[in-house]
Amino acid sequence: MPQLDFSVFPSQLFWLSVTFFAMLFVMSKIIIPRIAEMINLRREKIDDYLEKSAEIKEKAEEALERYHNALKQATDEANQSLQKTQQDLKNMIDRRQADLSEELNRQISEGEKKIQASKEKVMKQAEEIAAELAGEVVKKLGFKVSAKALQAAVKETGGEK
Amino acid sequence: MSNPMEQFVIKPLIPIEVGGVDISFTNSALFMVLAAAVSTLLLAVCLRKRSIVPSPAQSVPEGAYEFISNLLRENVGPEGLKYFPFIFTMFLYVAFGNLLGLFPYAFTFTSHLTAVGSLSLIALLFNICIGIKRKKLGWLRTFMPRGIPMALAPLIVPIEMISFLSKPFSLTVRLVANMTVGHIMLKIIAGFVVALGVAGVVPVLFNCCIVCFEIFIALLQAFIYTVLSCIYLGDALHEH
Repeated sequence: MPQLDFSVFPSQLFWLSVTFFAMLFVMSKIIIPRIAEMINLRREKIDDYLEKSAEIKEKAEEALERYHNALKQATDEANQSLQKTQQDLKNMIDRRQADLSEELNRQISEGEKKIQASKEKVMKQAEEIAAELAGEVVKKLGFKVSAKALQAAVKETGGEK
Repeated sequence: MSNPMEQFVIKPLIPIEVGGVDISFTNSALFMVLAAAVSTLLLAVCLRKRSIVPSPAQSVPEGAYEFISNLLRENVGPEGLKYFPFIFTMFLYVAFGNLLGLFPYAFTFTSHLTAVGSLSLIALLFNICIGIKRKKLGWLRTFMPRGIPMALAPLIVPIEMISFLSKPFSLTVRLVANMTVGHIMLKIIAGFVVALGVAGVVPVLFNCCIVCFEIFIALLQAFIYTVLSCIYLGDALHEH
């Protein structure tokens, strides 16, 4: 078997060492640094991007929180202003109602007074008319009674009703 | 039918002799040069245009890089990454030695005990150097593990030495045997093609399948050779 021919060993060892170490030299000085450089660059870039994305995510979360806060604040304010308006409206309605009922009461009492006055007036006229009528009746009957006495008599009876 | 072993014969192309030692540039040496040059050039071409987003060509060296660095991390640990260039080169050297040998008329230097043995010898010396550098004299503990009574030393030390030296030997034999068998099989079946005439189509098709399988074996054996080298490197770095 030619594989077991050890006479070629020096030549094999020599050339293998030369080629292997030459290759090792080129690999470690040129090829491997070039590969490693690119891989490291890529890893750095990816890490950089990841870092950036984390940063952006944080910012977005912050913005979201701010938005939520603003929303909450706005809702609170709106609620407050709504409540205030409702209160104002209620107050106004109450006031108006109070004014109105006061006015109405006043008008009612005025009207009552007027009614009372006209009632009295009517009563007085009725008395006068009754006195006059009584005077006429008395005159026709042939009696003579002073107007004053008549009036007093009418008043007396009228008062009895 | 030609001799299936003929393909493994080493022929000197440029005879060189230094101090009585024959170091002729042989067909084997030619393919060693080719394996080193082709793999290096291929990676260099793939890396010509580099971008953050890798092009298909760029992902070849990067894939190999990630593959070997994962191998080292898993088998040796993070400190093994220091020896990355050595393991990376070894993987590519063996892989391309195997793959280039599959071309017709090519020579497979990884099927030679002397060639792979030389590589394993380099790996062994590399391991010993690292071990001594890391552990200083404690490296000798490799042959005399802690907790073993001194009385057993005459027995343990030779056994450990044999086990230490048998590792590169088994690495070598595994690779050489795989490569040799594959190539002999290809050659023998190819020999049937002419002998069978029209029916020779069958061995041709069969050989096509075997070539595909051999490509797989070439990469697998390069991988196994590298993994085991990593494991031995791990042994050199850690207490065992």
